Amino acid sequence: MTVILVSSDNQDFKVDKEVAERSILIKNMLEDVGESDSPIPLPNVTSAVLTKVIEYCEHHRNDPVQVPEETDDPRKRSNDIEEWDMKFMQVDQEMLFEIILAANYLDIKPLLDVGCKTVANIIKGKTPEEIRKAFNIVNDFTPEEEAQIKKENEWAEDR
Amino acid sequence: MDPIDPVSFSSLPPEIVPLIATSLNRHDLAQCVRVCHQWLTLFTPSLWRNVKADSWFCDNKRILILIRNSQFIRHLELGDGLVADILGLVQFGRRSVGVGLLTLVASFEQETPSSFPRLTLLGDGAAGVEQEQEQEQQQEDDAKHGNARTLGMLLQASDNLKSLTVDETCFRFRDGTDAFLLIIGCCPTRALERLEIRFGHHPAFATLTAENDENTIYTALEAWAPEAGTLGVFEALKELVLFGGDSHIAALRVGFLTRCPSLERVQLNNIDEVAMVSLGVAFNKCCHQLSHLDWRGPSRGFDDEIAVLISSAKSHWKEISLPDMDAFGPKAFAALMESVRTRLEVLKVNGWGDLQGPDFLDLLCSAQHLRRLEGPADGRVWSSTTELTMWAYSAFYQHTHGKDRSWALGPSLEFLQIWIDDVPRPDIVCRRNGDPLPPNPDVPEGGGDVYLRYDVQRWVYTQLRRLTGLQELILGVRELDPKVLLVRSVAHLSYDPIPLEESLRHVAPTFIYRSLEFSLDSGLEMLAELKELRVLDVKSTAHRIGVTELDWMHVNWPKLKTIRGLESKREWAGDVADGLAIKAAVDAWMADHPNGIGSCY
Repeated sequence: MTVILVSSDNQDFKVDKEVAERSILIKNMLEDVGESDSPIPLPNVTSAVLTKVIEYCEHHRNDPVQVPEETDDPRKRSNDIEEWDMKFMQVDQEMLFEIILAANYLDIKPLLDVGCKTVANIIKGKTPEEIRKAFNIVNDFTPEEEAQIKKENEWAEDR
Repeated sequence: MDPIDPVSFSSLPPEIVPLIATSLNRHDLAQCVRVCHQWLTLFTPSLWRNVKADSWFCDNKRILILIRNSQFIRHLELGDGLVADILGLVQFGRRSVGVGLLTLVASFEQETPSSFPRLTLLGDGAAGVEQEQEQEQQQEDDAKHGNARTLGMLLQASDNLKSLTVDETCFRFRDGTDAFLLIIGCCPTRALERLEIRFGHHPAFATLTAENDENTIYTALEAWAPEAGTLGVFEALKELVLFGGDSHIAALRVGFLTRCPSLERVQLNNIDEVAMVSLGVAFNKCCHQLSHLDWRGPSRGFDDEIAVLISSAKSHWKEISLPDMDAFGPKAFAALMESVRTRLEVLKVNGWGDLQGPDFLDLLCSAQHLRRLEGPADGRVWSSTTELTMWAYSAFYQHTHGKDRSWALGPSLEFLQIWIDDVPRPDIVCRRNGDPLPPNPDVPEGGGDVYLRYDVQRWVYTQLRRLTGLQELILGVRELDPKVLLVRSVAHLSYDPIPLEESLRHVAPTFIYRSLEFSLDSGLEMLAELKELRVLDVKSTAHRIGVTELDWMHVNWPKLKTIRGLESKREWAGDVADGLAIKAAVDAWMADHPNGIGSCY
C-alpha cells in the first residue's frame, strides 16, 4: 500500500505506507483517517527536504522501532553515527537544519537524533570563535561580558 | 526557500538544543555559552544540568553563581562539605535547589566543620536566613547536626530524586553519633529508584555483636514498622547498593528496609557477619520482591550467617553472584540450593571454596532453569579457591551404580563454564615441571579396561547434548595475570613476594590432564545438536581436536566462530599421536577455510 505526500511547493511523493510510517506524525494521521487515498499535505516541508527525508526512511524501513531511552548519563550515550547515516548527513548546513526541523515536525526520532549528533560533532572541540565561524554567528558580547562568562564557567573547564 | 531568511542554527526550536547538548561534554558546553547572547540562553540549562559541586565553589562569588543556576541542576555531585552545607542552607532559605534533582551523589573526603560561623562568607547574597531568630535556632541545631542536617534539607526538597548515593561518613552528627537515621528519614520516597549507601568505620558500631541475633532484629524491625506510616514507603525503590565499610550494619541501620517493599536488586560490598544476619532477616521480613543478589567480596562470615543472607529472598533468587565461597558450609549451601531448584537463572561464583565435587554435581543435577553458570575468572591458585569442577569418573561411577546423576540443565542454558576432570586418560602422561605425576589412585587409568576412557566421556557427552541452547562452552583454564596472582596470594599468606612469584609460576596456569578429548573417537558426534554453539574454549586441556574434528565442527556447528586453546602443549602427553592438534596442521586447515571457524589460539 502506498500513500501520497505533498510538499510545501506542491510536489507529490508516492511512498510505501511502511516507509511513510517511520514518521509518527504521518502514522497517527493515517490511523485517524483510516483507509483513504487522499494525499497528505506537509506544508512545513519543501520538496528538496522531503526527498532527503524519504531517502532516509527508505533506507531505515526495516529498522526495529526504537525504544525511547532517556538517559542523562553522557557515558551511556553513544555518539557513534552509522556509516550510511554519516554519509547521508554530508549536506550543507542549511539542509542539515532543514532536515532537523523536518524530523522534529514529522516526529522521526532516529533522524532527529542523527541530525543533532551531526550538529554536536561540528561543535565538539572548537573554541567559541571557531563555533561562530562554523555557524556564521556574530559575536554580540562585549569583551568584558565574554570574559565574565568565561570566568563564571571555569568550573566546567578542565582543571 | 526564502533567500533573505536562510535556515540557520537560530531557526531551531529551543527544545532541540538539549538534544544537541546531550552529545557534548562539559567543556564543549562551556564554549557554547560564550558564543553569543542567544547561545548563552540556549545552552546554560544544559551546561548546569550535571554539576560536581567541589571545592572550586568555596568562594563567595563562585558559590553565588552555583546558587543562581541551581534551578537547572538535575544531577548533582556534592564533592565538598562546605559547599554541601551552603547548598543545604540555601535550600532552607526556600531557593529550592533540590526541586529538579534527579541524581544526587554526596561524597567527599572529610566532614567539614559547621558552616554557620562561615555564613557571613555569603554576605547579603545568602538566601533568606536573615531573620535572627531563625538563625539562632539553626545555629543551636547545627552544633549538633553538622553536615547531616544540610543534606537532610536538600533531600527534603528533592521530591523527584531517582537516585541517591551517600557516603555516610560525610554526614554524621557533630558529637560523633550516627546520623544515618536522619538522612534516611529525610530521603524523598516518591520517585527514588536507586539507593546507594557507603557506610564507613564508626566507633559506636564497631563493637556491636549482640545484634547478631535473629530475634533481636525481628523485634527491632517490629519497632520500626510504624515508620512506614509516618515517613512513607519507597514505592519505586528497586535497587539497593550497600558498602559495609568497617562498621556493622546492625538492626538500627536496616530499619528503613521496612519501607522498601519493592526492592528487587541488592548489591552488597564488604559486609560482615553482623550485616549478613541483620540484612538477611530484614530482607526476608520486608522485601518480598527480591530477585537479584550481587554479593561482592571479600567473603566473610560463617555458615550460619551466610545461610541467613542467602535464604532471605522469600520467593528465591533469580540471579546470584557470589564472592569466594570458602566460608560456605552445609547450611549456606542448602540455602543456595533452594534457589537453584526453584527459579535460579544465573549463577556467578568467584570461587567454589571448600565445597566438594559432589556438591557441585548436586547443583548440576538440580538446576533446571539455569541460563548462565560462571566460575571464577582465573584458574586454581590455592586449594581454597576452586573452579566449578565435575569429577567425571566419580559422577559416571555413581550413575552406573544406582544413583541417577543426570544433569538437570537443559535447553535454557546459554553459557557454561566448568572444569571436567578425572576422565580416565591412559593416553596421557601427566607432568608437572617436567616430571611425570603419580597416577590418581581413585581413577582407573585404563589398565585392563581401556574402554572406560570412552564410556566416561560418552556419559559426559550425554549430559552436554541436552544443552541445545548452549552458546558458549568454557572448559579451559584461563591464563592468569601474575600481578593479580601476586596480590591475591599475598593477601592470603604473607609471603615474601619474590619467592612467592617464583613458586606461583609452577602452580598456574594449571593444566587439565584428565580432560574430555573432544575427538570423534571419544563420541564428539553425540554433540551434533548443539547448533547454537558460538564459542568453545579448551585452553590448557588435554583435548584431541585434530583436523577431522575441525571438519566435523565446521559441518555440524554452523554458528561456531571461536575456538580457544586449540594449540596443545606437547609436553603434557607422552608421544604425540595421530589426531592431536598440531599447530601446523590446524593452521593449514584454517587457511583452507577462510570463512570457517575463526580461531584464536
